[in-house]
Amino acid sequence: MEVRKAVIANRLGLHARPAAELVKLAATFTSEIWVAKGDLRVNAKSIMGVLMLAAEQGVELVIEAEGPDGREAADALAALVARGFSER
Amino acid sequence: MARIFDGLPVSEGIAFGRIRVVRWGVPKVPHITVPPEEADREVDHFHAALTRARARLSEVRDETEARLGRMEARIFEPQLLMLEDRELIDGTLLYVRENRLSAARAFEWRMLELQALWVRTSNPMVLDRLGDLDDVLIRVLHQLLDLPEPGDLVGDGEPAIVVAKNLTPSLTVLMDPARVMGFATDLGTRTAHWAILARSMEIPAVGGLVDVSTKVSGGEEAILDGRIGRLIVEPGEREREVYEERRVQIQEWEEELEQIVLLDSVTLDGQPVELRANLDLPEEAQRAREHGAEGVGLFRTEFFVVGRNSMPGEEEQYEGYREVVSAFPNRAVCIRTFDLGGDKFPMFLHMPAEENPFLGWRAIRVCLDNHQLFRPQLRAILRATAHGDVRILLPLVNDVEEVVQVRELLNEEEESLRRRGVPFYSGYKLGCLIETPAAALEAAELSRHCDFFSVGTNDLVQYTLAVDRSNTRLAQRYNPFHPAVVRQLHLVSKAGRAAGIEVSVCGEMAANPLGAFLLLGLDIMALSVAWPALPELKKVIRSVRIEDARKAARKALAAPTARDVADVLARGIGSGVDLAAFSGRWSVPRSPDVKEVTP
Repeated sequence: MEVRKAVIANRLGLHARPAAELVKLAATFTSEIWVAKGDLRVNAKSIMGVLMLAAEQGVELVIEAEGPDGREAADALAALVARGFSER
Repeated sequence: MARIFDGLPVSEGIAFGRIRVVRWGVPKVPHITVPPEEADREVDHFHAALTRARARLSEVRDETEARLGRMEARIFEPQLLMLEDRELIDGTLLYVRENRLSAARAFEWRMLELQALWVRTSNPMVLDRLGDLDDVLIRVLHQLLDLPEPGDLVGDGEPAIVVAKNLTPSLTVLMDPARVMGFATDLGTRTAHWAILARSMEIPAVGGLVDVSTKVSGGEEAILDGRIGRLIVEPGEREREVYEERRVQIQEWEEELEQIVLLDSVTLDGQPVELRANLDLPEEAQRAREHGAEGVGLFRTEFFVVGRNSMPGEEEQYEGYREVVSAFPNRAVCIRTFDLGGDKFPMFLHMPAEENPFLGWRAIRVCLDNHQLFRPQLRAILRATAHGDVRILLPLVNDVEEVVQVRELLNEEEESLRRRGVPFYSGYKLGCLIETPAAALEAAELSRHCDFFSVGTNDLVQYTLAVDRSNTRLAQRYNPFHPAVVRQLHLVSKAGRAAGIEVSVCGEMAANPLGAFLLLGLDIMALSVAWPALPELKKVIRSVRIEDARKAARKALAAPTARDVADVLARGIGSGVDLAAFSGRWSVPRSPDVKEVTP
């Protein structure tokens, strides 16, 4: 299991559009991937779950990946969050 | 007899048309069970419906992109992903196979289950997105149950004001702006996805009308005023005339406001008035300048801390302050230190609930008790002084000692910056917000320790009258023209003048035409308002004479009631300012004592 931590960097937080970006990126990996905010842990490939996180700027997310490309998946998702998605 | 519904302004503009009630809601799904041998057929039916829904939604997205732009089109991305979501699809299929439900019933169950999970988070960001969930639910159910597309619901060609319980993004964008004149909904706020789209489409809209969709039947004539959030059903001849005229006036007014940004902020008799903007975020600096701001009268810094679980660093703050200061070279930029408490508290302060948060541990009281939070902010602001005219503004100051304590902290931080060779400008100004009666009555003493005053009228009114301004039952009692408020303003202005320091006002009172007129009359020549209100404020300034304002202010000081104060001001401002033209959309207080801004 690969575990990474990343702090939400963009001002508006994990709102609808960044959530969509995260889900799309997660879908490109075969590993199982989860994102957690505090006690709330959701499937990173499910927009339904990721939208529920509603994480604001400065909130730390924990990304976990299990599978053949787990390391790449965890790295890529953590980097996406930390660079503030494609907005700032 | 006209019926009037008041709600929230969602998208500006005035619309005329016949009401058309649109019920693009969740269709009634019959409870049908299917035997196991037919489950495969239901599964195929479901997949086919999803495919059709996806295709249709992609068209909607493309259409949106072509008509409104890429950003607007991206609003549909989450919905497209929902239509491929494994948790949604697998959950639905499980209900078909194990609970023997029809595809429609199974899908509805699964969606309601997910909706309940979302609602339980009670996070405003999640709740705002429930409209997207509805959109998907309705779209797929329409496919499964073979119901007509929403577009067909709207039009027979006659201009319509669409009334609905709530709107969804896809329904909104499918409306034909040539036939849909306006939207009026029971629910809905300015931040909902459909509201954003309505504004892009330039269709006037009013939300938050509670139950209007059940109070109209369709076919009634109506006028919708998106500027003040009002729907008039079956207007009389007079209302119709007034609004026809107003629509033309508003058009001219908007054009005039665009021109006014380029003109000087000066009264008819030549008195210049400093016009500044209140900012919540550094990114707003540019918009503020475009709207004619000559400085920043109030830069709120809470965005650095609210909703975060760690203290903001000095470096991050410095960047933010520098961005705003650099946007206004050689102009005053008043940075207010953290105004936490009351209704806004960051997680990392582990603030216990208070009985009376607005009389509690907040603003300067928090900062003086928590140097770990306060010192990095002071350092960051000091460093920003190297880039312009920075003024440090302390919130909720009650007495001289608080200012003295901050001054000591600043001296220490200056010393440490000097030692480290970090540049800053030692001629920066330190001042306080006058927002409690204590501070107003102590203004003369405070003026000896401050380089400037800024009157925060919102809190000053609230604390003077002991009226919580967020309490809607007290809305009529929250009155900035109360004689007790007017007299304190006078006191503060006098103390500032005697000490030779600038007195400015930041607060909604300055965005109200009569409020601005009174402040000028009290010799307060620097006003700061939310940046969208700047052009209208400049219009007031350019339409009045300072001598008239002074005369009216003298009378206002002698007036026994708030109503008398407002009357005196309305008479004094004369016909030079058409009070009815002001939009009132920047939460300018609308009290019964202020002349109504509506026709």
